Amino acid sequence: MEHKEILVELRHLKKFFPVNKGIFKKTKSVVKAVNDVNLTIYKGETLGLIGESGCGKSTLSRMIMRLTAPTDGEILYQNQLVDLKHLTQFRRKVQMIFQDPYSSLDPRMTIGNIIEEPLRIHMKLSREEKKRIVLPLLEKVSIAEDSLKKYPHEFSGGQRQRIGIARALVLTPEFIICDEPVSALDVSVQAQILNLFKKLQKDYGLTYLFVSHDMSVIRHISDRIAVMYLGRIVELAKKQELFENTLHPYSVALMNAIPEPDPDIPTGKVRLKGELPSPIAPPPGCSFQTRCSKVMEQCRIECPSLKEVSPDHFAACYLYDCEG
Amino acid sequence: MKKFLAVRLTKAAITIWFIVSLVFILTRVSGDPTQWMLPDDASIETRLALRESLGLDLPLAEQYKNYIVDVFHGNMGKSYYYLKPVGELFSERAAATLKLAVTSFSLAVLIGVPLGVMASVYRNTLLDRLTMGFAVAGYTMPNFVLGILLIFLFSLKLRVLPSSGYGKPINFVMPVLVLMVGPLANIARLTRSSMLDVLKQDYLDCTRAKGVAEWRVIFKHALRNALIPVVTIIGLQIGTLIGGMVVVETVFAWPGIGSLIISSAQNRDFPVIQYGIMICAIVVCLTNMLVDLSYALLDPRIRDNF
Amino acid sequence: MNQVDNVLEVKDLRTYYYSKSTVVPAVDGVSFTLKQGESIGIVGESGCGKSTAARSIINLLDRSYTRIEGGEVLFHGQDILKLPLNEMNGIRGKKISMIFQNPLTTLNPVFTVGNQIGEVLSLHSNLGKKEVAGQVVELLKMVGIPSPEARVNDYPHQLSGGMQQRIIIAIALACNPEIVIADEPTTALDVTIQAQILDLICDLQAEKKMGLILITHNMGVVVRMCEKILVMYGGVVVEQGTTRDIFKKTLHPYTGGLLATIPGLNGDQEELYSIPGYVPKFTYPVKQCRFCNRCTHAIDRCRMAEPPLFEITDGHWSRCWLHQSGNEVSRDGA
Repeated sequence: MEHKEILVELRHLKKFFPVNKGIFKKTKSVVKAVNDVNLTIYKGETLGLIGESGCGKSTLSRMIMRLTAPTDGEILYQNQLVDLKHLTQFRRKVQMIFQDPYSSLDPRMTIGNIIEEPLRIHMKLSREEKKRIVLPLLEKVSIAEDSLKKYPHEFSGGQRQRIGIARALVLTPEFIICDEPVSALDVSVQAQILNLFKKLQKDYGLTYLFVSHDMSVIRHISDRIAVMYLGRIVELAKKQELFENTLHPYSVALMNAIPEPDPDIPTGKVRLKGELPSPIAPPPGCSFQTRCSKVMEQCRIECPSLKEVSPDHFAACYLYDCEG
Repeated sequence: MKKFLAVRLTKAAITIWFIVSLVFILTRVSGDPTQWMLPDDASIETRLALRESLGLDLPLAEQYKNYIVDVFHGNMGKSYYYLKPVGELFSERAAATLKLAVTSFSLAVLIGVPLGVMASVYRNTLLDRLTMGFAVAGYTMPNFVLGILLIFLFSLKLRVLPSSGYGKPINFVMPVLVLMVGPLANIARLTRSSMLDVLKQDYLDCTRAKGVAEWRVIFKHALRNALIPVVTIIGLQIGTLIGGMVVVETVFAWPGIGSLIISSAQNRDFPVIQYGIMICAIVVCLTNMLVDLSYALLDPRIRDNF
Repeated sequence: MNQVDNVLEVKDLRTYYYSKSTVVPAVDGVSFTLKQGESIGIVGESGCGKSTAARSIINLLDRSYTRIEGGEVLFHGQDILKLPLNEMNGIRGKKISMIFQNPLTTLNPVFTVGNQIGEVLSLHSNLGKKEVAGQVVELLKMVGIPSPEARVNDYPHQLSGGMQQRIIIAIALACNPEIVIADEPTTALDVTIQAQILDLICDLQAEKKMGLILITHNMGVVVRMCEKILVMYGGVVVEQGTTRDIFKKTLHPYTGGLLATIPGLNGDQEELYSIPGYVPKFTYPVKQCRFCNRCTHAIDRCRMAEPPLFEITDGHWSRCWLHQSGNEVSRDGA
């Protein structure tokens, strides 16, 4: 199915954090957490965003939600610029589900209050009307009705995550950013939550940006996958294409690193050398050069941009620059 | 590091200057010291002459300017009461105070820290509850009350300890006891709670997995981490100690700086009061600075910020 | 089974948690053996008792609420559970050592990494200061830390997660132990760093012929690292066998359920299988199969008594009444 209606567009998005050194708090250098990201998300799809710690994926998702302001660049939602003026409307259509089910629910609020809160902020509804919205939602996420008066600590991690999902859905949003929503859960609970995500997407026609560091989860839930490294998107493709035809050396190493739960599949051999370089002083050129086994002279001079190598398959690497 | 020290010293100097100025002004508006210096029937001319000789007839701003100039030249003034230079007066009595302070403080730390460690290791047992109960009693009871009660019990009733005096070790017993109780209680309590936090940490299990003996796990690995916040508290106890010193020296007639400051406050002996408060301010500021530095010494994570 | 070959024999290990009102059988009869150089994986989800079982081997438990209630841990034939603490300390770090999960919290923040590695060397050998320092540098080289001479004076917070875990491995391997217990050693690390660390553990294990007990909830990791697998649920072993047997000839319904929930293992699926319900809290004594309330194959017998381990094929055991036709394994696990 081709979902070609563009819902979210990110143009040259950047987020730099100043590093304060010295006694008079002079800015000596910056951490380029997100460095020129261009991304399009289509209506109805699930875009998986994969990357390891320090790649900027969390910062990116927070920027899209406007929980932090971008240093540069634009975010467009349904072709309209997302800025402070339109923030309230934007927040009704775009919601977020967080990673840690233990800290994303206010421990001092009852479940009922937690889920109702967005309704209280955005609409004026009577208690009855609110209940009419909240109760069917609870059923959809399989939380018992009598939970409304209970507190978060009375629930397990998986249940809390469901409550977080109900909270995100209460305003019937169109686009949900899921920031590592199953990372803190056990494998069997993870499966339940992932199934729930898929079901809700069908029922409500949702679009997801699914951020994770776990390739098997991303592999299961995404339609397209974007691979992120040190603040940049290095590869973007449809799921099948990415796995069958991995292009960027970092993506290759990532695939090789996944331990496959099958004794018949041999362990991947491609390994990355060394560690992530310091994000404060990255070398000029491609951010991956220090660990790439295929590094060339060009890579040290200028950073390659994301180019279409084959239909709908983008990679930011000089290895593929002449083709496509 | 040097920048840090320079900034802190400057801030300390400003604080001290501010305190001294405040005391200067407060003393001079509090009343006339010459009242008791002369017999009641002294004539007005004599009083005025005395005031002039002490420089008290000048306007406040000029007195202040003269004082600051004097201080920078090292001239701290002469006591109205003892007629001696203030510096000499203090150095005569400093020894007594220092002996008391050092003894009390060392005992407070040397007893308080192990007590806190034991209470945390054996938490919720009788040892723990007794220690903490004592700690609460220790810092809630005002030290003059404790002092007087002890004198009543040991000097008057039991007649085993002298109620005042200075010179022999036995004179030290009650004053030290009274002075150290408050800080000891605080140090024990805080060591205990800090240890309880540290005892939960994973790295202690890793240490045990290496085969390190339990007592070493507690006293070397755990305590080193737990001491970091405790050192701040120990430093702040210096302030408590100074306050307690004044009271204890008065109650036990200890010939130290504390009783000197108290009596000079009563006598409106301005130069002594000013000098005394300045000393106290310097001590507290320096202690605070040392506490901050020790943080860096003890916690390598903070060292990187210097 | 030749008793002499087994470096470690765990027999019917029981470790219970005591609170004011309840007794929780965290580990309720776990048995396995380990030969020299062999690697065994203990898998299960959180709360199944795998970590507690591993820690019980070297008695690394919080004694304010945990007690080893029964069983034996025979190390070269000697029951080390009965040893006084000071003798156990002679084994910890020297003969049996441990690698922990979260490297940042496992290293003491106020001591240098050189100091922390040196400590285990000084403790278990008669080496002088200089020799210890030299050994520390060698160990850092062995675990792949660049510029080891400089890193010796670093503090844990100055290093990345991957480096910190290498330090922990250096500490664990410093005295050439016979067995290494690795408790979720890569869970807190990024997947590419995880691959490097697993490579390292594999290489070192082969080189030094150490036994490895790997605790994990990641089935992919256990496939890579281990020859034998113990699957734990609710404090007991529900299935035990070679890696191939567990994955390709799965017996126990829980193991089957667990494998089915892994995304991508069974090709592209629309919906992942998920085990119905959730892990209940168990209290002592347990008188039925621990998994029966969530099991799709449960029969009446399952609710009446807890099944013992049945041996189906050589070395492949399942704790399930459905497999009763197999030979019952005696409580000793022999």
